[in-house]
Amino acid sequence: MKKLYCYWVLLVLWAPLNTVALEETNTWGDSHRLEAQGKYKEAAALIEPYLSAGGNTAEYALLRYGWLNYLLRNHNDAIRSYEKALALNPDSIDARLGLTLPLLAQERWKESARYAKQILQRAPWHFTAHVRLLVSEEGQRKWSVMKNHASILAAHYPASATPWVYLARAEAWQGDYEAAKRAYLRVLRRIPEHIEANAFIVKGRDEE
Amino acid sequence: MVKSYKLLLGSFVLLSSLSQPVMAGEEWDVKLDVQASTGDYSGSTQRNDVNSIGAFVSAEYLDKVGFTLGYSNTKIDFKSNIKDIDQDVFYASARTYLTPDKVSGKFTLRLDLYKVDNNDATKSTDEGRIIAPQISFIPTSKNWYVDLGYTHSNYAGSLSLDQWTPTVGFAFNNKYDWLQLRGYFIDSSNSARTQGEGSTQALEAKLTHYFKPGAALGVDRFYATALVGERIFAVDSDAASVYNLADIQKGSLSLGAAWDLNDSWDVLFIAGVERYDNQSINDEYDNRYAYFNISKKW
Repeated sequence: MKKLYCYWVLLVLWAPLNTVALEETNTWGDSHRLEAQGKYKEAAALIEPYLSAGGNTAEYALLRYGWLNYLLRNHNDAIRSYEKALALNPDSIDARLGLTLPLLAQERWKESARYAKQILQRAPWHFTAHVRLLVSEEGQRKWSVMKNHASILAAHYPASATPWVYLARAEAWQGDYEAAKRAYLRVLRRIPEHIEANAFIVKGRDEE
Repeated sequence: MVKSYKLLLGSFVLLSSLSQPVMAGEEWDVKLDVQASTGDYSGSTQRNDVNSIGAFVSAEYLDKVGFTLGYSNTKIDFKSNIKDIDQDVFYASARTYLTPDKVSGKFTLRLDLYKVDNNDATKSTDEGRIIAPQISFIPTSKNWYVDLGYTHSNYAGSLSLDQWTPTVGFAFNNKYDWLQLRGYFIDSSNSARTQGEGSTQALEAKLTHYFKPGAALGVDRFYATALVGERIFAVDSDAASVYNLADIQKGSLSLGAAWDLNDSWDVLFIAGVERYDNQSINDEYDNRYAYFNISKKW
């Protein structure tokens, strides 16, 4: 009888906890649904109560809040949110990747490059970090740096068209039309309908 | 000129010794500019020529703040018994960048300080103390630009000048061309010191053409600048130059070309003519000048 009583007490205590957990799960689910519907502001408002919850919950809430604010073009709010997430977890690659987006949107190339490089110190061949770094290099018009970087990335990701696009742009900006053409042809092997590569090749043919 | 050439030599030694990218960390971008100019005062009854040399060091911390320190030395050679002028200009500038979400673009808040000292026997151009705040905005599209600059200049004796420089710039020809228009509205506190002029107005138009790669002579940018109207004791915030000549500038024209040698080095050459008038002695003359700048980025 005493045992049964204990189970009953546990059940009574567990039920509201379970309800809270269920409510939280629903909140995240609703937030994702609203995001899918393009209702970023509403999606962000739902998770605001978790921003100061502490621990993993707050970290994820901050990452998601940063992402939704980036989608809302509230870039400074996005940066603040990602920075708070990074302060909670200094090892976070997600926070650093997140930071690169609003920084690139604001054309703060060097700050974005700094976070991309921090990721590459932890994960040397992180493809997205490399691409974000290439965008920063392009924004800073560092053509020879971008050319070397894109060449190395192309060697590590031979199936991807993206490094070849940046290599082609760097060659074109440095005035080496033939090298740019060769790089764009490699882009077209991977993505035959690539607009930029086709435009370059067609323009070159017209000029010839 | 000994001091000037020592500065030039020292700057090139510094440029050469810093050819490895070790000076600036990931977060700092450093740039060194070394410049020299020479001008011939054609038609002047008083002046022969002018030679100037200078160096500027700029440091940018990420995309947040930037600082520049500069020094230039100018020597003006006069005719007959007038004593030559030897002038030092010290320059310091700080700027910060703001990217509010309400507008898509970048604001720059900038503050420049100049200290001008020379051996002008008349003292009319000596002891220049200049403060120049400026606010500018460029949208993310980079299609246009606007700034408003204010400059307050004080010189020895009782001369102060207030200068306002509203500026607009816009891109055209698929961003291969950029035209900047800047008004100079300068009020003098003492017209007896400014050729009898209580205020002067001038308009400067600056065209920049960006060449596609592979242009003739490898030129990357071409500049054409024209100034109409009158200005005296003007301060040019783009060039960080003080025109503390006691004569009225009545227009100018210049052409220039820039070469980006690689990601780190670039050079700029400008040739031009400036028209001046000393109304007190009815001396109208031209300054036909050439200017050279070499720049190294880390």
